[in-house]
Amino acid sequence: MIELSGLTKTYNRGQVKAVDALDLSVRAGEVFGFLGPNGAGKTTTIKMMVGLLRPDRGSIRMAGYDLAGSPLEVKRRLSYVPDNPDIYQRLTGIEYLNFLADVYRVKAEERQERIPHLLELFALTRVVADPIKSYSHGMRHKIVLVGALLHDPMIFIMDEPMVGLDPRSAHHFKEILRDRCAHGRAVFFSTHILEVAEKLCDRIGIIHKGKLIALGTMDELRDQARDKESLEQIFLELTET
Amino acid sequence: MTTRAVWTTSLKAHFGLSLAWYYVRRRDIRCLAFVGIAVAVAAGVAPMVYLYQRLLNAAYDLTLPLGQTPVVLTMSMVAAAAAVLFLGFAYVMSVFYFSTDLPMLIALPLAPWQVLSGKFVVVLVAGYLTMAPLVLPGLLVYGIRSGAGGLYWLQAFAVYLVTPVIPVSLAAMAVMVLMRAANVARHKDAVRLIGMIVLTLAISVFAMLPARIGPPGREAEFVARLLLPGDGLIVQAGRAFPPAVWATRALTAPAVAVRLGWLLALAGGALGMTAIAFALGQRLFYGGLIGGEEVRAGRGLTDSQLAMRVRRVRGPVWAIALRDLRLLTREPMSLLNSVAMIPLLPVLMALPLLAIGDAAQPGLQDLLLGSPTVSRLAGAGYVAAMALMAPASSSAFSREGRLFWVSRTIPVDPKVQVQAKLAQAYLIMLLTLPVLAILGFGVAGWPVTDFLLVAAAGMAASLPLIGLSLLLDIMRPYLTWQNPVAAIKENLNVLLAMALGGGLMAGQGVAVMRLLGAGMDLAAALLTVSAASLLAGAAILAVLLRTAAGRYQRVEI
Repeated sequence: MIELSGLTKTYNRGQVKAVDALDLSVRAGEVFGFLGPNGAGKTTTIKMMVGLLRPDRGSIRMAGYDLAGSPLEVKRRLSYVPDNPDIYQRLTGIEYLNFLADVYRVKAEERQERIPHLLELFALTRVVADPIKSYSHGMRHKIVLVGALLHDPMIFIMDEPMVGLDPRSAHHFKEILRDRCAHGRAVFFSTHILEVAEKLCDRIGIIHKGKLIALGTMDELRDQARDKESLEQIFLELTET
Repeated sequence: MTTRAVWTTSLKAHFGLSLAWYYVRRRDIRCLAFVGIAVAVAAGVAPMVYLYQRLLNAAYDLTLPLGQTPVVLTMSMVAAAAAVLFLGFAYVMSVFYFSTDLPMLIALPLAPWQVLSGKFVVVLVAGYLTMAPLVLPGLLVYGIRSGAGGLYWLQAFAVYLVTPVIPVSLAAMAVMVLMRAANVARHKDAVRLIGMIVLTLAISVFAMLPARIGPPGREAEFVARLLLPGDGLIVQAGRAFPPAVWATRALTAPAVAVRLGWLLALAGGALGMTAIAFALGQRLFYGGLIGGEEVRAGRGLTDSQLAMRVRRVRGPVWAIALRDLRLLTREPMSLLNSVAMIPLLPVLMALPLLAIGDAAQPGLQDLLLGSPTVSRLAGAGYVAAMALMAPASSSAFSREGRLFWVSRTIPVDPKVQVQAKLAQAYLIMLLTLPVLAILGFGVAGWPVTDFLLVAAAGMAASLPLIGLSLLLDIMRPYLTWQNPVAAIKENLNVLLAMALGGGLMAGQGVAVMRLLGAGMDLAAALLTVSAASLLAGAAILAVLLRTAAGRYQRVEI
């Protein structure tokens, strides 16, 4: 579902390699956790995957389409949740959702079914007619998540999606992701919350200084880092230098 | 020490000094962008400054026989004060109340006046930059032509530093009172907008006070008094801003002690106004600030209301245009600059007619309304000028700011997104029609066909202007602003669009005049130029659509 091949991005005229020849694939039905310390290249990778940054080298294929060649085909099939949920402050929640539904061409009957359900699930029904400016950080995050789920994308790409979510919303969100993956969707997300990655992800990739230094299931990662039980210990050992 | 830290940090953050220095140290090519902006702004104002200094030189020649040459200084000071005050309202509001650093500053152990002083310094420095093309020519023309000595230039420097303090203080006080009043109002944004319109109208009346030619029936006596040796002209020119007279005397009084006395008076006045502004700020600033952050909570939606609200499906063009329009009209300062300006500008332009006095009005009415050609050309010109003056198009992409990522990730072709921006611009332009109807039907008595012709000609003439504005903005969108007002007020694209579009519009005007001069009737001339404008507009749009596809991919935030 997602194929990154030789993906490279440099800054400062090639002096800083933010992402260095990254090869990675995520299968349909898989939840993939992308881990790494601050400045490791997680957000740069994600921004390249959603078309916000242009790779210096390498290719990105998603849902069978090459991002560079068919960007609109790719964008129709994915949802992106940024790490910063500061979305249009002067729109109301419902105006924001209707805007996304319009540009993703969600049919009227699907909107009428999905929007009330998702708003209820994330406890936003009461505030959906209010300006987003009046929302708390967590509520803004939730309205962005609802927007990302509206068009039932084939691929979810999320940068730190759990930050700011209350436990109930985080639980519902994980349930939705699991359910979507059971229906053949793919999830790619970065996180600092190692416990979430450990429990939710089918596979985990650890990026450090732009290079993928570990990749596999939890069991495979344990094998790579001998005598280490928790993901935290594995992470600390691998990203020590 | 603490206050100085607030000042330096505010200046560095607002004017991007740290970022510029970072680029210079790293020898990053982006440091040239700062130089480029400075050069472009200088190039943009150079023609105006050239004409302005010619005007001042002419004023110097005219007043030389009367011994009133210092009026050159008074004129330039009044013009500078009016400009600082006029731009100051919007600037003060954006810097004082809508900066993104405020939540951080409020949380620091600083008194309100200290936070306020950081903001005040930023607006003051902006005032120095704003008034430079207005005051420096005055100081130079007078200083050079009168052969002024070294002390003049030293005092001129002091006067320059003091001059904007009073208008900035006045603007700060007016805005703080307005924001505090808006805080207790139910519809805060509406109060802010109406307040800004009232302030803008008030400053326009203030700026044209010197234009009134004395009491009715005694104009000759009044003019004679002005022309007598002494400083009658100076006092009259400084009526709108008396500190300009003090500044003039501080630079031109015969005795050094008197000059220093006036300089002290000027500095004392500035200090007094600043003290009042800060005393007021200590009481009002945080109150208005908290109001700026507050949002009225709604009542929520019932199930049936929610079902109704999600039922309507729109195409992407309308969805994006609607999003942009909502964001534009819900930001009071953007609404004022880009939308309210359309009906407001004709009112501002009509005010001088009232100010000049009854004697001058019939002549002007005859000129504007007595000739069918002039009134119709003015009508079409007004519609086209609004495409240029209201910066909705020249900031269409920039206003998206850091949220431009949304436009880059949604599955909508950039060409379609450009069409949405064009639709948005023309929807705003529809606001010109009621004004045109008032002018055409209410004042000039046009038949319906003439109204339609003028409206169509204006809209056609707007196409290349809007296309050019959009093209300039997508070429180099300003997306890293810290408050939404900056997307317009600090956006070079807006200035460039006005400069280049102004040239284009002048070309349209010349073309109409040439056709009329060649014997073509007005309708045929307007239709011919409209057709040419549509062709030019189509060509610009073709370039715009091709450019947009690339820019949407390449712009990195």
